[in-house]
Amino acid sequence: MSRRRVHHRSIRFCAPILLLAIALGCAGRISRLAIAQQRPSSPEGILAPARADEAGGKWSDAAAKYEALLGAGTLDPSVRAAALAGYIHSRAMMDKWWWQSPLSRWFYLYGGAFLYSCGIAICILAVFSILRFVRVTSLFLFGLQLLLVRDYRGQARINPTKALTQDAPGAEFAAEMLAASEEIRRRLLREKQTWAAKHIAFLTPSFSDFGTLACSVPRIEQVDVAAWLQFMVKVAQAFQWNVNTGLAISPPDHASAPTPAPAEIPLGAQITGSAVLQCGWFVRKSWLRRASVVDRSTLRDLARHLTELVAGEAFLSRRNRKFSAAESFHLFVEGVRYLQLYDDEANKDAPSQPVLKDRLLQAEDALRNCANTYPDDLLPHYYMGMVFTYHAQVEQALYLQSLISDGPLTRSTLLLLCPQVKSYLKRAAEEFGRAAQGSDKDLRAYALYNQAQALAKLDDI
Amino acid sequence: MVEIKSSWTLADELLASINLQSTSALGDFLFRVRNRLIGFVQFRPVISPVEGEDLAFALHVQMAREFIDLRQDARARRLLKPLWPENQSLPQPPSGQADTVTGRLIALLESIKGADIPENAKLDMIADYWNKWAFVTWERALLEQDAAERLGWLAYVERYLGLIREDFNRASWTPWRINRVRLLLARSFTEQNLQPSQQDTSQGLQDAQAMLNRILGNEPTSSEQTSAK
Repeated sequence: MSRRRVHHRSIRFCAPILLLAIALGCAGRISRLAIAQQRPSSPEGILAPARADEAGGKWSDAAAKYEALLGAGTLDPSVRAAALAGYIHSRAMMDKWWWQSPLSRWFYLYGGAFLYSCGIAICILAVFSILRFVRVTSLFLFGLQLLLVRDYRGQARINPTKALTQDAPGAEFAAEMLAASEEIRRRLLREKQTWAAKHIAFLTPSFSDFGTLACSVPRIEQVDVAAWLQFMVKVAQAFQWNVNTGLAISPPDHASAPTPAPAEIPLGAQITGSAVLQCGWFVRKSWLRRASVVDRSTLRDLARHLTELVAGEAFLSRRNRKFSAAESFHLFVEGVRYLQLYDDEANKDAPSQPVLKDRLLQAEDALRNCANTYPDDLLPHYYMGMVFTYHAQVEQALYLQSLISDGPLTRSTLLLLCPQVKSYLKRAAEEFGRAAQGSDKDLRAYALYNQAQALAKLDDI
Repeated sequence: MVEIKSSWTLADELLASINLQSTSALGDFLFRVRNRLIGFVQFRPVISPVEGEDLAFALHVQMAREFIDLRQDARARRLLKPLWPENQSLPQPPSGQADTVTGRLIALLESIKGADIPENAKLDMIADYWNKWAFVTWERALLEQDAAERLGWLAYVERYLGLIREDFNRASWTPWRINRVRLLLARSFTEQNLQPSQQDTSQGLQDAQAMLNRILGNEPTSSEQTSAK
């Protein structure tokens, strides 16, 4: 084995130790160690490592090396004498030590380098702390988000729902969410809210993608093109807006009545649904909603609730701002839904009074809650005006009924507008007026028109 | 001195203030140019849903303003009975009334019928138009002291409401139902006023009650169920 090869092997062996040592600021000392690995054959060369340690004050290392040389039987007498002198001197120096602990000795030798390394590490940590304090990381992530993530305008894929508990009907929940998005779109179109309905149409199921197309691409010689295409499609999909949902069912605290077929969800159980709107690893918003199972419709209501929140998030961006919170959109859509259900019932040949009453009050509750919680949102005020107009209509019918049953049926009583009707019409006019203030072209025009209609009905004779 | 405006004046001012013109004239111009170009390429006029809705809404606003004027005329007893022979399906303005509110409203109906707007919006508007006519005429009828004259006006109310039921199939439309109740009640007590000893008005009241039950969702009474059978 040549000297050159030995040298290379020793360097390779020491490389990791060297890297560590350099990091600790001990490069100078370790380089001397590396040099000491060589095995020179001249007298000066034989004594050099021990003398280097002696000169460096490493008396224990020097004594050990001198001792090793003295143990070898083939030494030149002059070299032996020099080694013996060196050994005696080193031992004499060691005898002067007032400490005997190897750890203390290590600190004596490497303390300066150790403190120097600690100082560098502390400085690095301090710099990181300062950067963290001024939120450089957040700024960096925000910049990355601006580059990679599109503005959310309602285009999102509804991925299959993850069943968080064994008995949770995840597949059904995802289907309910898709059905809910279609229902919301249809209801908004019926209200001529095309600006909103357009966005809801963008909530699409996860199977409407290019995955199947990518799978069908044939292999080209050794290259699995389909696998590569699928990978690229997945990456592209990850950087679209995705709605990831989860569903869990917690059993009721007490044993409930047997559930009617085909529902597997026990009555009285707590059903928890979650939805996360995210693009890549950037989460825009997440929601968690819980409901007690009354019947099968609870699942549908929960799915609709979460879908309304996901859809509502599209109207918060500056460019398309119609609502100040997704929750506001949810309450608004619920109000509109109950108003339409009221209309459907009222237009029947023989409507049911409890159903009519319940739907109108539900609509009023949702819209009042929305208008009170988010007073800057204008559409809820407009629809509150509609609710009051409906109330006025009902009161007018009740007044006419009282004329039949109690009288008096005269020209003046027939022409009279009863106080309840007047009150509702005034409140309707106020709500329409509030909606007209600060709204854009279309809503302002419709609100003014309806305000005028309510006022025109107010003048009685 | 603070002027207290009547709610009608306020309503009219609000309607007059409605401006459907976009704030962006350039945007509107480009939108119209786009539609014309599409129409030129496809050899047909292109009316976007937005344009159609705007036109329908403008007609609604005009109609609301005209009916406020009509009610004022009715209150002042300036409203005249329309020319509406039995063999004619639609009324005509009284002679020499073309420039009055009645004349303008009859002309407006022609505009609505000829407007390039979605068909369902057009039908809604025409039904609303006749319902408003019925209501104003009913109000005018109740201002009449003379019972026979009042019955004459109420006959027109019935014909207006009949137009809605027959042509637009809106027998379950609540505003129509309420006007129907108003008519039945007005006619009931007018007939009683006319010949108190001879007229049996209970049928009119029963019909009105049945209609109200349908509006309010009340359970039909036993007499209603019997008459239905």
